[in-house]
Amino acid sequence: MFTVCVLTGITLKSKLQNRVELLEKSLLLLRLISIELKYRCLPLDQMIINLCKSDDLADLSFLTDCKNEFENGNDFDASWKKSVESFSSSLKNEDKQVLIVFGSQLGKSDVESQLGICDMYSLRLEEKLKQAQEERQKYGKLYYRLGFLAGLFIMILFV
Amino acid sequence: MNVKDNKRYDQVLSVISTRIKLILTQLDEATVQTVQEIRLRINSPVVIVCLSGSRFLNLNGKLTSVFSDNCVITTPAELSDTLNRVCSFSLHTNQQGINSGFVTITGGHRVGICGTAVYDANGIVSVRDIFSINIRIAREKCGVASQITETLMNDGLKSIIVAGPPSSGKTTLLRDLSRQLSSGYTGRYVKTVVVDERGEFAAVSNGIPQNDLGLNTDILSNYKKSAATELAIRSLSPEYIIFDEICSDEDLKSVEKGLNSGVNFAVSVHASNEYELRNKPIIRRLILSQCFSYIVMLKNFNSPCEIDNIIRPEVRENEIYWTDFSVHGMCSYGDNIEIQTSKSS
Repeated sequence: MFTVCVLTGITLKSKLQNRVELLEKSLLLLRLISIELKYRCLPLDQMIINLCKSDDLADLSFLTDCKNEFENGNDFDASWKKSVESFSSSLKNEDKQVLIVFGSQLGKSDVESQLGICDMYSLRLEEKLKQAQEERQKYGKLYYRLGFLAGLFIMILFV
Repeated sequence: MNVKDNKRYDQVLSVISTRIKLILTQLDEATVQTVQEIRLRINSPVVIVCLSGSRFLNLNGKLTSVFSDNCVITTPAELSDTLNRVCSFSLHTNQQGINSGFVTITGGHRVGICGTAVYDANGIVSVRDIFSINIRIAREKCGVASQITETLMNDGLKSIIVAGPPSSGKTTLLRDLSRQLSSGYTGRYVKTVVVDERGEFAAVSNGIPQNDLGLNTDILSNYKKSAATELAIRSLSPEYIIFDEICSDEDLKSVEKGLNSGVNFAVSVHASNEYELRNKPIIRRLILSQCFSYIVMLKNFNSPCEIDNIIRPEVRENEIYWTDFSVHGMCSYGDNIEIQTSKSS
C-alpha cells in the first residue's frame, strides 16, 4: 500500500514534468514550421513528412498520426484535430486546444500571415509553458511528499 | 487503355471533391482517354471537355451534350473542398499561383482558378470568392517531336517557336522535344535546360521530375524566366533552353538575353492561326532578332500536338518574309519546299 501511494505521487510529479517537456517540444514544432514556411514554403503534406523525421519531435507522436490520416485523403484540418485530440499525453485539454486551433489556421493564408499565426500561437504556448513550469515547481515535490506521507499514514494505521 | 493516361486521370481525380470524384470514376475507359478538361463552377453543371467538345456529366457517370436535371451540379462546399485539395491544403505555397490564375498540381496538370481579384498598389494580393475551377489534364506523349528533330535539326540545333491555340499541345510537344534532344535522338546528348516557371513541364514533386525530360536535362522549376536564363547561362552552360509560353515583355527580354549568348531556344506562344501569328508583336520581335529559324504551328485542340505547318521566317531589311515549310508528307529531312512566300513589314 505504501508503495502504491509513493508511486502515485511519483506519477503525478512526472506528469507535470512531461507536460513541461511536451509544451517545449510543441514550441519547437511551431518554430520549425515557421522555418519551413519562411525558407522552403513547403506544402503541408511535405512539411509534415519532414517534421515526422525530426528526432527532436519524436515525442509528439500526433504528427505521425496526422501524416497518416492526411495521406489517407482526409482534410488537413480534420487529420490534425483528430490526431491532437487522441494524443494520449500529459498535455491538458487547454494545451491541446491551442494546438488544434493553430492547426486549423495552417495553410489558410499567405506566408506572411502564416508566420504571424506561428508567432501568435508560440506566445500562447509560451504562456502555457510558464504556467506548467510554475505548477511543476509548486506541486511537483508536494505530490511526491503527499504520496510518501499518505503511504506512511496508511501503513501506521494498519500496523 | 493507356496505363499512363489512367494514372494521370487518377491524379486529377485525387483533387476533386469526393461525390463528384466518385461519379467521375464511373466514366468508361474510352471516354477517360479523351478527357482534356474538367470544369467545376459553383451551382453549375460539371463540364467535361473531350476531343468531341464540351459535355455535361450526369449522375449515372455518363456524358451528355444536353443539360438536364440529371446533371451533376457543383455545390459551393464541393468547390471549396476541391480548391483546398488543389492547393494541398497549403494556400501559402500556392498564393502566387492563385493570384496568377492557375496552380499546377502533382503530375503537371494545370488548374485554372477564377474568382474576384483583390488589389493593392503593387497588383493582385489575393483572389477571393472563387467561382470556378478548370482542371486541364496534362499528357506525356512520346514521339510527337520526332518530326521536328528529324526534319529541322538533322543538321544542327535550331531555335524554334512553337505556336498554337490553347490546348493544342504546345507544352506536350516541347516536353518531348527536350526528351529527344537530351536523350541522343539527334545523334548526341544535347545539354538542355528546361525553365519550368509554372511547374507543369517536369512536374517536380519532392525533387523528382514526374515527366521524362531526357537524360541530359537540367530543370529550373518555379524560376522566373529572367532569373533562370541568367542562372542557366552562367552555371549550366546549356546548348538548348526550353521555355513555355512567352507572353510578356519581361519573358521576351529573357529570351533575347539568352540569344545573345549563343544558346538555342525553343519557346511556345499562343496564336490561334497564321494571321495572328504574323501580327503578334511578341512573335515579330522574336523573329526580328534573326535567331529563330522556324515557327511550328500546331492544329487546334481536336488534334493535340499535331503540326499544322512549319514556317520559315526570314528578315530582309527589317521586313519579315514568311516561307511555308511543308510537313504534310512532302518534307523529308530538311528539304525546304517553298510553297508560298509572303512579305509583311
